[in-house]
Amino acid sequence: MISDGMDRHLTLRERLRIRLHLLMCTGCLQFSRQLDILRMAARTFAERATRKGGQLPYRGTP
Amino acid sequence: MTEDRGAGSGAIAGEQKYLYRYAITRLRDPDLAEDLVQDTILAAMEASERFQGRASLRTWLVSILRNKIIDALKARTRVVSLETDQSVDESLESEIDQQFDANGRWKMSLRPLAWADPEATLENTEFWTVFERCLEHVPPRTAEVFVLREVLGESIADICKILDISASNCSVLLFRARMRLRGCLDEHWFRGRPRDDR
Repeated sequence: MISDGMDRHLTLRERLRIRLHLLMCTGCLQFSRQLDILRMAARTFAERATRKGGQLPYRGTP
Repeated sequence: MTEDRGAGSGAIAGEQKYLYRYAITRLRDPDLAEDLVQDTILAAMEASERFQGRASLRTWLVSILRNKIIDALKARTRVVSLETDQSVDESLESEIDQQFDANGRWKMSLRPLAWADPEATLENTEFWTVFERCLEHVPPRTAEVFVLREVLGESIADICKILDISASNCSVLLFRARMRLRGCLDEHWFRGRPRDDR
């Protein structure tokens, strides 16, 4: 459901359930933070490679 | 062709390198990326009088390229046999299951621990090599959904339309991609570095 929450609007009830669960589950709390970092990384990844002067991530230039 | 109306062919061609970088990170296929960039440049030259200079030339070209990338991903999904990806997906599924106990809770030893200093990490060149390798280890169809969602920023509704899959299927693929990537980055990058558990 944490993963789902990154893609759609959760209902108030669903959000509350997650909040309550995160209060007692450090595993899911860290998991949730890691998904945010992963999203940030995916966006930065594309930006970095597109920026001029950045290294091409893959072999084969035109 | 005047400077303030339409775009010059030279200026359009001058953006080729930028467009190639844009395409390659999203497609992970050098030949296809090059083809799409050329298609984009040719299409832009043919339609150059439609470019009014409201947006920057680069923004306009990227919007053309972006549509071509989405079409290419759509076509590629049709080619990738569902069956071959299915067995890979199943092994990924059991890899995920192994991280949880019978009650659906994280196994103590595999419980996610805090990743230290994400901002500094994203500045580190070595991290990106690891990130790229990890992305290569996600099955192709699963990786495509991840790229559409997290790199291209498409909505679930649009991804469903592009790849012709259901919303729940899409969520499952995204979940698997995220699990695989976080596991891979954890193992090959964050583990062994100082944690800041809070």
